Amino acid sequence: MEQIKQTVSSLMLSENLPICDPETMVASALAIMRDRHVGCVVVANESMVVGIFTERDLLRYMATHNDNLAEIAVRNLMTRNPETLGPKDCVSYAINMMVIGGYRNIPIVDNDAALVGLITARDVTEHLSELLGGNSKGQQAIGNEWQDIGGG
Amino acid sequence: MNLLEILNTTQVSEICRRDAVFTSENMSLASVLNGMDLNHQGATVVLDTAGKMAGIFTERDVLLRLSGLSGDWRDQSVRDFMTKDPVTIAETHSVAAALYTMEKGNFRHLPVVDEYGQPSGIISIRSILGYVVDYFPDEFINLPPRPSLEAKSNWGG
Repeated sequence: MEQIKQTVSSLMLSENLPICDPETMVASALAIMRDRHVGCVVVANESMVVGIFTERDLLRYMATHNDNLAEIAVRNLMTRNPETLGPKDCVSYAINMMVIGGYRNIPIVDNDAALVGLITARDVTEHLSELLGGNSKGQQAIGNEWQDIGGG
Repeated sequence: MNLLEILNTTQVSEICRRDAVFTSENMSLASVLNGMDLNHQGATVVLDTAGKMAGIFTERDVLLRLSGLSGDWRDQSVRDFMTKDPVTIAETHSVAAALYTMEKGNFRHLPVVDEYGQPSGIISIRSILGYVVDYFPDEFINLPPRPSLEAKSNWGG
């Protein structure tokens, strides 16, 4: 399937990456996620990836705690040592990791383990959607039913 | 069939999650968050007291609508924090249509509705990717766990 033979670098976010250091307070990490319209912040020590903090981590914490998020460091809630890929790896690896591991966000690191990008499940599905084309059956099928009124 | 043909000919009903737990609009946020955590759901469809769909509540709503709250929000009802009247997709529509709707609206989840407009499940980006992986096992399942473990020649052992 040629469509997924592309490299991760062709789809990944590579500028203005959502990144913070482990001592950043959770409230500040959340502000990054809100401002950049992403579902995670990559946690790094001088660009070396040490963790990832996602919306899922937030949900899990808030399900059982009611603490002030401005007083908790992100290192306490992050997932340590997340799975990563290199920029030249094939998109199929990213898709496989997302399905098997249940990840929606995969940090992309160079040979020195420094963060160079982020690929998300949305990047992958946007790519699939582009492959379907503007006059696809997908677009025709929903036709007049499309309403831009929010959702999940 | 290639990927595009498959996504165009597979119906949403074939891949949507039917065991997703729905939520009553009167349920407390604490219960909703616990349910989403335990059931591994990134979103839950919210039903009104008549059992009709009233909205959707997602992980993104936790970030955007709950994380900045002070005081005890845990007993408040999900009704006040959900997205009302969400975009839906019919069971009989194609996965391609679901993908297009999700991409256009920036949604990760869509409530699925039956022929009577009643919610019958949820389709997510993950469901779609999972279906693609299942359909093309040679492209995915046979991959080594990491790219660095790929065979460098035709010979191996």
